[in-house]
Amino acid sequence: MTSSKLILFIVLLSVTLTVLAAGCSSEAPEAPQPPQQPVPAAPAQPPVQSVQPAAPQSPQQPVPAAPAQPPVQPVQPSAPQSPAPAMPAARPLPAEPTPIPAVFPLTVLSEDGREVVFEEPPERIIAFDSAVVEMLFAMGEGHRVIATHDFVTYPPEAADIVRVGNAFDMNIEATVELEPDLVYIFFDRFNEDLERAGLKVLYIPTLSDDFSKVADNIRLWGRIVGNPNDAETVALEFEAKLDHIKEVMEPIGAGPTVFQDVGSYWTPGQGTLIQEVFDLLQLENIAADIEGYAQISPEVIVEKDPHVIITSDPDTILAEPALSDVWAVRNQAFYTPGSDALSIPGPRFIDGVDELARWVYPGLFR
Amino acid sequence: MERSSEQTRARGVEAISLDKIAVRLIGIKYPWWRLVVGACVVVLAAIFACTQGSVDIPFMAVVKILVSRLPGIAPASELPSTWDTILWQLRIPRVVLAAIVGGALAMSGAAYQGLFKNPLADPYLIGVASGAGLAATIVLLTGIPLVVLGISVLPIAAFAGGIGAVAAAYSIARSSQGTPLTTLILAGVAISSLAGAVSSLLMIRSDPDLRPVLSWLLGSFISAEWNESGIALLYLIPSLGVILGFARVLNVLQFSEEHAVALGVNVEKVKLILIGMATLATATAVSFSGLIGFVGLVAPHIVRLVWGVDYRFILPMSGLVGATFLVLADLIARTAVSPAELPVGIVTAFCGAPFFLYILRRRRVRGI
Repeated sequence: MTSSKLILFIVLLSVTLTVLAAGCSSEAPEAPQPPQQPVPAAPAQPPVQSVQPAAPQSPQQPVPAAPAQPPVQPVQPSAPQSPAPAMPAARPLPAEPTPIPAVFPLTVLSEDGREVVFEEPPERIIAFDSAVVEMLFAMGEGHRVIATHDFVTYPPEAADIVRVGNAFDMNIEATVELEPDLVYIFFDRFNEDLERAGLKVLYIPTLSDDFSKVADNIRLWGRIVGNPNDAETVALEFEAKLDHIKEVMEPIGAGPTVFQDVGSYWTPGQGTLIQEVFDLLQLENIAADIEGYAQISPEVIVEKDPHVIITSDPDTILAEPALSDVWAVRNQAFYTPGSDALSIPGPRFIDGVDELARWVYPGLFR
Repeated sequence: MERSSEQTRARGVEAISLDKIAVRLIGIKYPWWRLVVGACVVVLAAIFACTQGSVDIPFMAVVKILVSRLPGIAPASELPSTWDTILWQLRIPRVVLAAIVGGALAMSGAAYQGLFKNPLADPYLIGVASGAGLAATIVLLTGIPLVVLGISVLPIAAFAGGIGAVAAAYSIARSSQGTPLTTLILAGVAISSLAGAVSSLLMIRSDPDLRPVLSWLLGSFISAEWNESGIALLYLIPSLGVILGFARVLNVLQFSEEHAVALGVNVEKVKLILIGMATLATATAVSFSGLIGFVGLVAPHIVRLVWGVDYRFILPMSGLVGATFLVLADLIARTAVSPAELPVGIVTAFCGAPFFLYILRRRRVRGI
């Protein structure tokens, strides 16, 4: 009797622990809702360079990719400058950038300290990350992606790509059998196994601190696949859209207060990409005291009386009698994102920002 | 100790003398006053909990707002109306629901410990938790709308899942000779493993945002509402009432099933009724609060360790101890990391376990 009860305990405990572990591993790099995102970053020097992953120390030239690059840049690439470029920003058509040479061998620094050297562009990439898959497709290099994980849903062409695991687990055998030239992964659980199998592994954790680095990530992947020019186009478009938003927002003072519900009062706070979006759009997050993602007390929602509620499910909020007097509820000011763009720091992220901006400030954006 | 020596004495003796022992056991002067004190402690804890929260409302304002609800007294109009909403719509319903759920879990746990005569028994022993957990996971992860026609789907699903799992375990364990309790526990363990496996599979295969599921599995009163307390009482008053009515039978069952039969107890019927009622109570509690651990295990033990073995006392007192414990645990859950919240199940285990170990150590001579 006793031992059977013990078993029950162990079972329940292990289920809980499994869940916790799964939860933690997905959250470790404090991502927005879904997991997968990369974080290469910082434009790198050409010949033998090592790319600093994400770390804030990298003296981030905001200048697009490749260094030995004189010509006149059509667009002020954004980067973390606060004052928006004062130009009345005609939507900067990426006017014929000077071709950027693809440089090999290329050395990229993996987050675990290894230098990953590319002698030539990898032809068979297993990209275990939604954002990287989107980047490669956006620069016309999607054909190199031979496998990914279960939760990749964009672009539509990616639907046919082989799946070798979900965001928590990876089928090592299937991965090895596909004979990839490169395995990109956003968490480090399988690095050793993959390397032992003789594969080239690049591990860069989820981008979580600064979404303008998406453009740098795009450039990094452009260099890895030997197509820096198309990558530059995609990156410049991203930066141009970001600059346009910054510029429109510049004269705007404090905007409305906002609460984002990602389910059961879970909400993003400081140190999340969403908070950065809120800062950019002058939205005052009622959960700004919270670090990362946490469950917020509904008392605080009533007290702070947000003007906008971002949720994919307004019905659950409407069904909550205590929230019926909240401004956003009385005025039906619910924003339901049209896509998952804001949860994947890839090229579409800025479109998610743009969509939110247009909703909050109708008529302000062209 | 005391019980086992009585049991040895009773063994091999006529049923008549056993009856005398039972009468003696039941004949102890019933300590009503302790229950009254216990009830007062619950009320005090609840009032204290109402004055604390992530939004600071001064004590006098709380009193004013409460008093203003009495008939014939003008509303406290000079206070912000949000405070009224926070107190009446969020904090008080939450405290009330925590007390109700704590009481229900503790009483069900006491009934199970008496019925199964197993110190590790808690209300989740034969599958309620994993059944409810599976149902909740399905609702939260498969895109079923959470609200249909203004009615929350989650509690209904969790309730059905909990009842379903226990019903499955019970019907597997039942045979023409009756329902051996050991078989029932084993069937419960098997059903729990199965349901747990399916939940884990769903979690690992579906959208990776598991936070809402996780907070449900760890228990939370974050979305407590008045009508939830009302609905809960609708199920809990009859089920807990029936359990209380079986307190004497539980006392008799402490000897052995054979002796209980000799005393004219229909043991199979008692098992069915007690399991049914405890399951109903637990499933109700779980459906509004998620899987809050530890309360149902520890509260009855504390009562038994401190105040003795009479189930007529253990059952109600466990309810009061469980209610106080959960009200205070939820207070910590919503204020410790304010404005964020902790799942209350983490608090119950974190604060309850050391306290329980302390009691165990003090009373270790007596045994459980």
